[in-house]
Amino acid sequence: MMIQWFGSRVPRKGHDLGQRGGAPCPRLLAGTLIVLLGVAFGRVPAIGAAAAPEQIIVAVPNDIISLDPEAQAEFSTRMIMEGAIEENPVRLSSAGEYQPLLATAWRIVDPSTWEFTIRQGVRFHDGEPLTAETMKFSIDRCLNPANKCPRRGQLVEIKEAVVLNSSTIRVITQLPSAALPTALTYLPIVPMKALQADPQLYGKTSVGTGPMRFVEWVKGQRLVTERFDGYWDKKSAFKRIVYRPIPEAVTRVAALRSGEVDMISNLDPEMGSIVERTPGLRIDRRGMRMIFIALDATGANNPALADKRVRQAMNYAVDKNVLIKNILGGNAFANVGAMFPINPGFDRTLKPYPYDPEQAKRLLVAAGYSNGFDVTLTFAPGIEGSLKTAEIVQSIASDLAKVGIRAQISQVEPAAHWERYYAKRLQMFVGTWGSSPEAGLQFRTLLHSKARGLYYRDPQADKLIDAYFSAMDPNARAESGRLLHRYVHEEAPFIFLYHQYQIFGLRSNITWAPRPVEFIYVSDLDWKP
Amino acid sequence: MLLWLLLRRLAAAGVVLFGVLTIVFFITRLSGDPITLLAGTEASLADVAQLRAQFGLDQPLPVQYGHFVANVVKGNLGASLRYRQPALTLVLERLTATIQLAAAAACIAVVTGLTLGILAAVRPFSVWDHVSMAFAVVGQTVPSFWLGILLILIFPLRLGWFYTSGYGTIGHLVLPAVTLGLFQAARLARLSRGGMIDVLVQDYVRTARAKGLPRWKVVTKHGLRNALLPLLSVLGIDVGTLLSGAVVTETVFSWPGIGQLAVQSVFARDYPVVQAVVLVASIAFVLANLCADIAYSLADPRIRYG
Amino acid sequence: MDSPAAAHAAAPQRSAAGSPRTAWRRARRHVKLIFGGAILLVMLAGAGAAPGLALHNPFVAAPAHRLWPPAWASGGTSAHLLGTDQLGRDILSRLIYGARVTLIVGICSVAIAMPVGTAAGLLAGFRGGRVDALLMRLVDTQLSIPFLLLAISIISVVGASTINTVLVLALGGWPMYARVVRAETLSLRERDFIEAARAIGGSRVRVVARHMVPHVMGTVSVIGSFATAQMILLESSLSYLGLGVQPPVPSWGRMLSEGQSYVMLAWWLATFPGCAIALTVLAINFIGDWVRDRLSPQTRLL
Repeated sequence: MMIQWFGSRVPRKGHDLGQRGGAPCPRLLAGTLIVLLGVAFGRVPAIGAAAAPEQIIVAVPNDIISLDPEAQAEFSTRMIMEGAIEENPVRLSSAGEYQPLLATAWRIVDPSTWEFTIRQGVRFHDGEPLTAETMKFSIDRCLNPANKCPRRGQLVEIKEAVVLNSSTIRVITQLPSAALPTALTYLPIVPMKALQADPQLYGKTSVGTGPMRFVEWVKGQRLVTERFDGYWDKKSAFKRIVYRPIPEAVTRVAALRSGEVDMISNLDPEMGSIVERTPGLRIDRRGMRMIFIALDATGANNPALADKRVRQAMNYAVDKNVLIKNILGGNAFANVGAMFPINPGFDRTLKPYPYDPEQAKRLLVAAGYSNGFDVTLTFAPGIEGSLKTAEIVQSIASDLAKVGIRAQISQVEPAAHWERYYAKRLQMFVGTWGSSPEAGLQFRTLLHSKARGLYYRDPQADKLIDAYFSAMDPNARAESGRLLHRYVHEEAPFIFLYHQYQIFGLRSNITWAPRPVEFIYVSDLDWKP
Repeated sequence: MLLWLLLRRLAAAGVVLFGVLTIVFFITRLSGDPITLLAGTEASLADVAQLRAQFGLDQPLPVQYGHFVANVVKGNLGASLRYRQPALTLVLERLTATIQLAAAAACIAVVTGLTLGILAAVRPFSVWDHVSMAFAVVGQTVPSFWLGILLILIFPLRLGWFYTSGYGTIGHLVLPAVTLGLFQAARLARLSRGGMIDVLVQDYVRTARAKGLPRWKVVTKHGLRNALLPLLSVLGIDVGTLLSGAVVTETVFSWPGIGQLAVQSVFARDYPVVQAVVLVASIAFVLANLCADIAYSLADPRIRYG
Repeated sequence: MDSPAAAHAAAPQRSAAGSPRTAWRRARRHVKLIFGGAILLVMLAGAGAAPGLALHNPFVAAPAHRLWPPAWASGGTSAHLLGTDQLGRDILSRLIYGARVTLIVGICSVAIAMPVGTAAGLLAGFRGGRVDALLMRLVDTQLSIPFLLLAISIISVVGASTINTVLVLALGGWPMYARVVRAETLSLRERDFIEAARAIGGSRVRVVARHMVPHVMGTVSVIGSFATAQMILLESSLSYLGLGVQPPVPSWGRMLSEGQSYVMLAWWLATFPGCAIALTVLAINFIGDWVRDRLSPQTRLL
């Protein structure tokens, strides 16, 4: 059967199949054929309905996972849902401070108790009023292990929530925690009555207090939301907002430029510059995600990394400015000591490690590695929102090679990365920290030995971190923050790199109030003709 | 006779499907689990362990396999770990889109490929021959993601035709279908040209021509039927290639089909969905092969399956 | 009307043996081999001579020089003939080194898949019965899992590297040989000369090796040559999905997939590796065509 077509042969010239053999013609490319096919199928104009602000379409790389805010902790889902349909008790202002949202005020009653006042007059999309009971319900729902809420980890410091009256709630923590409001930025307030009536509510629809109400979700295609006229704050400037997933970056940019969508997220700096050059479009930079190379300071997988001098040498060896200027196109600023500028206690007198390969070599010799050493650098492209991870990593590896540190690059996909991470198999790896930039949680989660203790265990650091999070008085907090900052800078558990902005592309007519987070808050959007 | 053959093939297909599910089961679980991805990057170790226990992923592999088989027999492929919805439902929701894409691509491939191939065969060394062979060559050397992006940049962006991405109208279907179908079209052009030439030089064709039959009648009546036979068995294998190719094409054009779902689920280690996708793909492959074989044996009574 | 035999017979009469015209005619029959072979030889030579041929280090990043256009475009320099990539590395040098990886991946994966698949097909076709059923079920099982999904899953387990890419591609390739060889073996098995060989008392292995293998090799070589091209393309799809060879090792497929995200800005990143892939695949297909055309009289006489 199949032998037949292998036995075909080319007919010889002079073999008459009823057609004279023509002279050889120049070969035409298949592109012509495809174009002809395109013409045959007919023209369809591709102009989106973006001229009037009735509806705007936002294109993001990933579809949302679930309508239930307490069933997922994925950033791509949160970026859309929090700020459109759901809301949290507090939000970050443009200055990086906690801003009242569903909670209007808060105070510390005693070191383990915070008291929040709930905003009056807020209603859910289905009409249910927001009360302190609703907030307690939301907290309990997430803390309940049976619900498998992935965000539980951020809220686990809460021991219990006690309702005082319909507008006041007390949150009691296990240990004194100065950063409780930060934890609450992970807590979406869910509709108590609707869920009590129908526990499977989120399988069909989503109900929240946000400026947009849920209309429909067709998986993989679109999430449609509509303006909620009963919103307690400034209403949405747009009647409908549609969110579409477009995974391929070039396609996203093409969709924006062709007018099919009005706003896109997760742009590369180069794509950003293309969008900037296009008339009618502009870019917006948001967030300050911290990118670093984590080092296994326990030395379990590579003894060289246990030596502080080696880690500092690595910091001197990497040219951060080239990374920021050339690879990221200026879309970042240097990081100092793993702290965000808006963290309390950020020491402005500290400067980032300068680029000094000679100093790096001196430190390596002092540590006994005059011939350098081998190390494995693991990364997953785009992990946790990092831009141009592959290029950054290769550039760093080249820099390290110049001082004798031979870094072998290992590219894996995100799931494999996390698996190796939790199995303590990594030596050097790319890490990021993007959410809650105001509280310094990165220290607690990444460096405290009780939190994970996988790659860094230092009793002295633990003491400083505990002091930082239990200092309830702002001045005490700032002071302990300074101490912590200097210590971490000196200890160099990471190669400190930079804070990157996330780049959004949008129509020039869309204005967007600045805020240091990457979520798309609908109430920050407006239209300028 | 045919019924008996059918039953035997179906039984064999059942074995194949079971084997497929088992292989996928073990490969996916060997590659790690989705818990660390689900828990988010800021979860503590205790949360990760607890989440894992709640999803039953901390049990030994054979135990998990036992549960899995018991469920599959009942028709339950489990719930997606990410979406928290039944895996099979998720796949079937998106199956329509992939079938539309694959069918359109197959149509493009068959129409373009056959036309060009046959034209090349009946007019050797002419413009048509060179055009179709150039097409065949170019079509087989271009990776689909590159072609897809090229088409996006030319048509919707430069010319304003069609759409860069999305789903809903025929206009949305055109570019993805061309991207997916081009490779197959090129292959078919070569194969049909070869097969056609083979047939056309046969004696019985010359006899028909000598008898005075017009050429088009000879081509369609005798040539086409005999040349198409080997193509049928080749098309059967190609369902798998189409689904594979759909994976990349669906990502580039954001086409909401099972290919994209499959890739996302593999990267997210969402086992139930991966299993469901592979099951559906395998059923499609087996059915396609079966149909091709039946069509083949019907068309050529000389073929017997021993 | 001329028959092929008559045409062949007629040709030598028209010109004296040894004249340029005869030589030209003979050459034209082999034009595909000449053309394809020449390209492939250039590729192989370039790959082999890579260290001496490449002017710049293709592995070391130089971000200060990134995205320089080719020498003939504005902004380009003659030091970098085809421009630099997103990390400032010379594209021409990376193309030359990339030839190594791409050709190794393409050729090795076929070199593994071909004997394995052929052996399986021979075994299945010759022994028949349960062995046949088992092997064909295995082939069907594997074929019914979309290859890309299988590749992603396996690479997630074993990790991405050049050797793993070769193995995964080989895994994807062997069923094709098995199926076709089995079909040929089934038909060959009944033929007289095989029956005769068995009747004489030759051991089964001997019969298979001496008599069957030569006959299937023709078909197998044709598949092999086309499969090489397909493997090269699959490698670039794997790189697009983030699997495939590890950075900073250049392979054409990886360069292509990395370059296509710069296609609006720096067309040269993707175009040159794309052309290299296209040219190589073209050459391999030509050679495959030639092999098939050369063998066709024999296969047709079987």
